[in-house]
Amino acid sequence: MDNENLNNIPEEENKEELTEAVEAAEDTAKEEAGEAVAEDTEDSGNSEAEEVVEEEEEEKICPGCKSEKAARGHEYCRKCERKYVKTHIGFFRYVAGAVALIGSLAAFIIVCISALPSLQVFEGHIYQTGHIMYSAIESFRKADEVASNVSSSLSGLSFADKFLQTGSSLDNKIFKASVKFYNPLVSEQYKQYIFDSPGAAEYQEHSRAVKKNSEIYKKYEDMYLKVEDIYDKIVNTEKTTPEDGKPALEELEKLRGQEGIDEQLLNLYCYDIAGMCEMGDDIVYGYLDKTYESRDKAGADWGFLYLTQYIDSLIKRDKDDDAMKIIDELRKRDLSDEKPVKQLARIYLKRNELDKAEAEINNYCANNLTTENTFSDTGYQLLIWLARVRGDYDEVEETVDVAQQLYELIPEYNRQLALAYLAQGKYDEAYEQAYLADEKAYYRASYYNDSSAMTEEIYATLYVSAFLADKYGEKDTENAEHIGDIIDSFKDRNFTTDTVRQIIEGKLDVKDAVTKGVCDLI
Amino acid sequence: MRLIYVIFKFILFPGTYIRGFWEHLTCKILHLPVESEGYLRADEACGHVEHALATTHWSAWLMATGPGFMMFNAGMAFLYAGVLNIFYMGITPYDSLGMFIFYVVLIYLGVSFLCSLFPLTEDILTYWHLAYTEKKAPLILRILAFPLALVTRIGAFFERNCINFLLAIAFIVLHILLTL
Repeated sequence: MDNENLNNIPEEENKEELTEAVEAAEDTAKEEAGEAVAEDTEDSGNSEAEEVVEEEEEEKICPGCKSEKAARGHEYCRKCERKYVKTHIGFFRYVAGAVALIGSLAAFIIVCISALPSLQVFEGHIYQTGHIMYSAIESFRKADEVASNVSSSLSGLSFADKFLQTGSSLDNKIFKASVKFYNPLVSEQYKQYIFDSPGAAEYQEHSRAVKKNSEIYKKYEDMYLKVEDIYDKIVNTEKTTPEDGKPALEELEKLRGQEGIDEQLLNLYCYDIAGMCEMGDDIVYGYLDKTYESRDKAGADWGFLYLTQYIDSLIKRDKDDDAMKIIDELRKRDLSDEKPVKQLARIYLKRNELDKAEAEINNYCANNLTTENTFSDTGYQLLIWLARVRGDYDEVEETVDVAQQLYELIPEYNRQLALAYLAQGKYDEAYEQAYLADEKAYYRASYYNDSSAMTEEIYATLYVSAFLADKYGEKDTENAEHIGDIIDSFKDRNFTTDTVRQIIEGKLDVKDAVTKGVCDLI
Repeated sequence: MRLIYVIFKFILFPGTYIRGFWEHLTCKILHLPVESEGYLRADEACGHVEHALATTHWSAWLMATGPGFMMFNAGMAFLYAGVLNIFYMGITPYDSLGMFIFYVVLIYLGVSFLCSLFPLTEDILTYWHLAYTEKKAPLILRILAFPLALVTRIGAFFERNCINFLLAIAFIVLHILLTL
């Protein structure tokens, strides 16, 4: 609505009226000015007249009719207000406004409640966009956990649970990511574990991704099972000599290039068989190289199964720059993973750049603090490692004490302490700590079903410590009676590096091995 | 275009009505005469109230952005309460039909509120004229208000031509495609 319509007077007429009023006011002002001021001061008289005009203008004219003065304290004259100002708002309209306001506040509360799990899903989307499927799956899975945490922290608000449920569509996202990450065939086998929300069974029947994947599964099932059969034969029969490995590898090679065979997965199986059957570094590393090279051709990303070993193999082969490139890649995937930091620190140790290693370790520790603001268990492992390779053995003992009070069942703390004693020539103490590390690893495997701590490093450290304690130690410690048995049990074992054997044979100084990054096992 | 505009406004009637209410309330607060106060009308002022143009830069600013501010807050809350639960938390009709419908209604409300975000072109042009042509507003305010004034001016054009409704549909379709 414009001003012309407001008073039903054409705008031009309004202007004329206003101009006349202003001119009249100017005339009056001039007359008054003429009486008050001397005739010879014409200039100053004019300026006073202008002031009076301004005063006149300050009295507001109604913008509605533009003829009457606006009522005091009002924008419009009384007449215009009566005629046009319909500011009365009906009761129902206020109710509607209030309902909208209250509803939006309730919606805002729902947004706040759902925000954290949704952010977790959003993180998964970002990983998915960057084709980092393993992290995407982890983020999607964590959404459910975050929702439970929020729900438990809002236990006083029973209604909040309704808005903290994840649904089948999220399961579908996990499924799609797992198809890309693992393999359509593996995903099909684990489908029932992925779709675990209440309506998932019904949802699966309508999911486009599930239907498509089932078709792929039916098409390639036989081919996939053939690969697994060959691999299972070696694992189940425990025939792990190089002679057993050769025909299995030949069978797998025959499948290469056939429809339905994932090149990367096939190479990975070959690498596993070559490693199990101890077919020599050239063949084992050769398959590892092939696995890494074929990852771009494959639709799935199996990196989490072999990249750590691949980096280790590169470091052993002095291909540090290649190793660092992959470490960068790994660290982009998961910032909380300590393995790449450890490997990077080892490369810096080899290059005698311990300051850089320290910076990396400190950075990792700062970024992975616990909720109690202490270092994580892996953070302590890295700090102990750093103190040990620097030769700060007192600091090693102090840090191990602190770490063990917080984390009781970490065998790596005892193993690092054992290595520190080995470097100092304290073989009996080294043996005791290595024995404790082995005992903790065994305890975790037996009581917590966690065999991740039963590593080659633990066995190598125990073997070397027992051997040196037997040869040079007093053998008067608590567990000295087991030394002989331990040496016997490891005597014929083939460790994945020759340096253990070299130490035993006296060809390599143990202090060099543990402080200069020569041997990754101890 | 007027017919399409009116149809969209009626389809998204909750936002249209509430927008009219906030504009009416703003007019009441600013003592601006209101000529026609129906909120759901079959003309280009559907979802707005016909009122006298503001005479000061401050009241023109409030008239142009005040109701939109309320609509934006409510619209975003409604839209994201639905979007987060359906497209991120992954609620489907197979999980809970009731909750699914509830979230769909929230998305509808959110879209309807956000499609009635902007004022009539006359309102923002009045502010533009007072602040930037006649320079009645202090310089610092003119600078600070410029981005929002520009967005409001473009938004008013979008709303008059139903482009914001198309953008809302594109937003929903994109999310559906990402979910499927």
